[in-house]
Amino acid sequence: MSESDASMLRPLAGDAPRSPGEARLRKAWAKPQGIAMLSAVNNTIVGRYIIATGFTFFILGGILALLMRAQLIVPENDLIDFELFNQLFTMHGTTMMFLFAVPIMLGFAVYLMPQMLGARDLPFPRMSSYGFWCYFIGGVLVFGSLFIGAAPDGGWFMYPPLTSLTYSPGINTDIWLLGLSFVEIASLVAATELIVGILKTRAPGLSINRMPIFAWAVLVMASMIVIAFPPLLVADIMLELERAFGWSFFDVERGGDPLLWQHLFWFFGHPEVYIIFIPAAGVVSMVVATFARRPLFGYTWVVAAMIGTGVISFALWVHHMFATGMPRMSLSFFSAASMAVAVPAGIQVFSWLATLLGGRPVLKTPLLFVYGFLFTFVLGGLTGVMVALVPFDWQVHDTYFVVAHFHYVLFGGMVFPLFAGLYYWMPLASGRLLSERLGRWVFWLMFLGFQITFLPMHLTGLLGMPRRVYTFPAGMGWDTLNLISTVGAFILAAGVLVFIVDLFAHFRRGERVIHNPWEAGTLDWLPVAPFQPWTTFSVPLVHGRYPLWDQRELVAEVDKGGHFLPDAPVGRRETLVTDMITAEPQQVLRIPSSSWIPLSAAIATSVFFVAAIAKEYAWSLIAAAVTLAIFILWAWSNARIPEADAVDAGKGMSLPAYVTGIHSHSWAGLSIGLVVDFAAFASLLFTYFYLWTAWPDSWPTEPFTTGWFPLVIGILILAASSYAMAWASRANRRDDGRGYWIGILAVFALGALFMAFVIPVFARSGLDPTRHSFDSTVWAIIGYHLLHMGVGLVLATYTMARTLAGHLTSRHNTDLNNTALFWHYTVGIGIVSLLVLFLVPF
Amino acid sequence: MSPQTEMPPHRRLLLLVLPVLVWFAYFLLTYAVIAVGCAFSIRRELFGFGIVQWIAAVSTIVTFAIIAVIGIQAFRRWREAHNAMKWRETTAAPDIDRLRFFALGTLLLSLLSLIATVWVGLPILIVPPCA
Repeated sequence: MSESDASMLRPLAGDAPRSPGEARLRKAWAKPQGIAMLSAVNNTIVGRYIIATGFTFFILGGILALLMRAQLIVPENDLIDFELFNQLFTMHGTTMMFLFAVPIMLGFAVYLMPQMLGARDLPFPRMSSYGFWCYFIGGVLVFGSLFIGAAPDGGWFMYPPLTSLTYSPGINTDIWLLGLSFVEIASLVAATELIVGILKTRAPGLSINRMPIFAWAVLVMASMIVIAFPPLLVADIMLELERAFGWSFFDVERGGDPLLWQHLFWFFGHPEVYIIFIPAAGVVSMVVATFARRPLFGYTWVVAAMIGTGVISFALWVHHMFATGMPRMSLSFFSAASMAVAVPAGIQVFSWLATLLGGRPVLKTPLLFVYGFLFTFVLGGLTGVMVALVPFDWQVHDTYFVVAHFHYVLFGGMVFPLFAGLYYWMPLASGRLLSERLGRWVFWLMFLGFQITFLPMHLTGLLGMPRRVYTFPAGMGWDTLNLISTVGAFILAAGVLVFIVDLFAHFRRGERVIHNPWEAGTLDWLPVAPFQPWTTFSVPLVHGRYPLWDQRELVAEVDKGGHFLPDAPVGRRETLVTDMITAEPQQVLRIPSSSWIPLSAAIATSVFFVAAIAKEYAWSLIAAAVTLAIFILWAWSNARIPEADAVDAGKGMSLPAYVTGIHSHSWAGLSIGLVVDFAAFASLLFTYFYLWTAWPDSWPTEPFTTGWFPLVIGILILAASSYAMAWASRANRRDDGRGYWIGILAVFALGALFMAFVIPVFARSGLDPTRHSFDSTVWAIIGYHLLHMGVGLVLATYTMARTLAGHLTSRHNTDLNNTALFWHYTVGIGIVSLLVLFLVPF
Repeated sequence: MSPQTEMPPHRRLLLLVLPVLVWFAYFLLTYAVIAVGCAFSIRRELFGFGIVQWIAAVSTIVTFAIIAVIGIQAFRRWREAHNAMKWRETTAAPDIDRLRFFALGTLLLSLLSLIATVWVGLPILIVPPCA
């Protein structure tokens, strides 16, 4: 809708609030100004920060690619030497995957999800802010290493032994391992809160089967991040332990195995591809439905396809390792699964085609990019089936054929949809449209540039040119093909350049948008200009998948404050919590506002990582303590008991302001956090079993401690502490203060006793982590559990302090519930650790 | 209204993804059995097939059966909801619509998992395990 015909929505409205309720809302959601913008936590601001940072890294990563293409334009070129070239391809891959693709998709999700679901914000806004700052600082650190010539240079997948201390003695590898671990915190944090946000903060009536496809896509992506990222974190830390402290995980001479790295890396790395692709496919589903002017064909089929893709993609990791000499039957499994994943991808493609065929497509720039995506992605998918065949893969392994394949999948599958999304949603962020005329230039330059660059690479690869070589001899048949690829790369870059010019120009000259310029049907297009940070003046009651198409009066009703929460009576930010499936309203959730705490915590965390890279471990420890202190302050200041039990939610509905137990959003968030934690723990156990099967002969054949006695005592203490925790929770619910204190003090005492008992047992066991991978792995597993015990003791202390300060009562017991959940989990992994270490493989 | 609409939210979501999770568990288990079997050179045979192959084959059949049962149940729920959509009052529609969505979702994921199970299971008969 353009400026002229939007006046019916707001006659003479201008920018002034139209009711005292709206004035209070504006005050509660006011954007911080000036330098205080950095303390903003609202999703519409943090989402923009993430997208802007991600796009900047896209440009930087692209410049690295252009440098490489410039070097490869003619044979035996000497523009760039091999050392810099190694850094360039490593940083190109690393930047594009870790600093651009995943974060920018999460940025889209953070920015759009609340609007699409009719929520005011995500449930943990300060966590999004913390995540963003971790990403920003970590990204600048990792990319900045290029300018001091210390950038990582071991390839984006950092295989040892090339990246072990012997062959990579510099800090380049440490920067990658620690810097990216830091960046990954951001993804995990964002994933956690997106899952909770999608499942619990949808508009009333927006039941799970009515969610926009993009919300499903983000739900699947976030769930995948939660499982896929921890193995990489564990691998990063293990390689760093090996490099910095001489432990052994990947060193063959001391019972390690470099293939272990490949397993852990690709258990992350393959789902990673779909972590990027699935949300991009979600964008495509949104754009296709809007521009075809009809609901998406086969909604349930597309949802099932995304879930299927998500799960199957975890069974593909070995197809990156076909050339490593694994048992042939294992290879066949992974080959079969790799082909199976083409089925759900195909279903989605047919759904988009059917929607377009059944509708009346309006060919605007976003749809043009979708066409570009369909063409390119299908080609990439087909070469994907080719390389899923083991014998074919052996022929093209490590050649430019693979480079061509994954650029077709990643650039075709993610970058084209991303641009479709940028053109599509830009009016929501800036209030203006990007230029249609320039948009066509951008598309055709990018599309043709892409094909000219990467189509010839299939041939270059089949003719035998290996990946990652800084130059090549003349006369191999590769000269012309490389020349064409380089020309194409610069055409592609020209397209991106036109986009950047248009982007900056449109802030001043773009056509203004008042409301829903594409006549879309989903809630993200509900707001009417001027767009506010709370996304919608009142939270709508929804009856279908495309509320803006189905409920003609909805926009006007919502804009008049006729639905839920059209006010901020106590001046606090609020959003509705609804049932995970039916979206029936359950709670009015208070959410925190702007704060410097997230930025401070991110800075403290960055000091921890930077000091570790510099091997200044004392500083690392200090920074860790400061970070922990900030987290405690954060938790303490956030969790307040609301002044009234029930709140008026609008439309005559009264809802509780405080919910505890499994229905509380913090319980949900912690549960997902524990899934992350468990994925890391499982990776450690995998390491233990993997190394045992890798070197069955060199592992010890008898227990390293004196028999079953420590095992039984350890398990008994842990079980008793769990019982005490349950006791404390029950007593607190019954308002039995004495019972509660006995229980919680017993938890503390038993936890401390366990540590006092176990540490000497292992210290006396004679295990030396620098001797053999067995010793290293045992120490890693025990260390992991003891770290949890330490955190558990801090949480128990925190809970006691909350009780003493009057913030924890029999009814307002969220702190205790969360501590209990963490404690029971810690006891669980402790018992599993002890059983594994004492009983297997003896 | 069908009693199935009363299912708690966590179980409802779990049932939706159950077929693929069963398949994934089977995939990991079979992979682990082969890895351990080959690493320790377990060569015992039973009726002309290696023990490793037997375990893999049996788990394939069991997995197929479990997913098939989940799929058939989902099909029945889907048909029930589908018929109800035709006959019932429109006021009941949101619940029935949701029920149909979950039933169809589980059904489709079961079909996908069945295909994937057969696909992964076939090499067990064809390929020698530890070559």
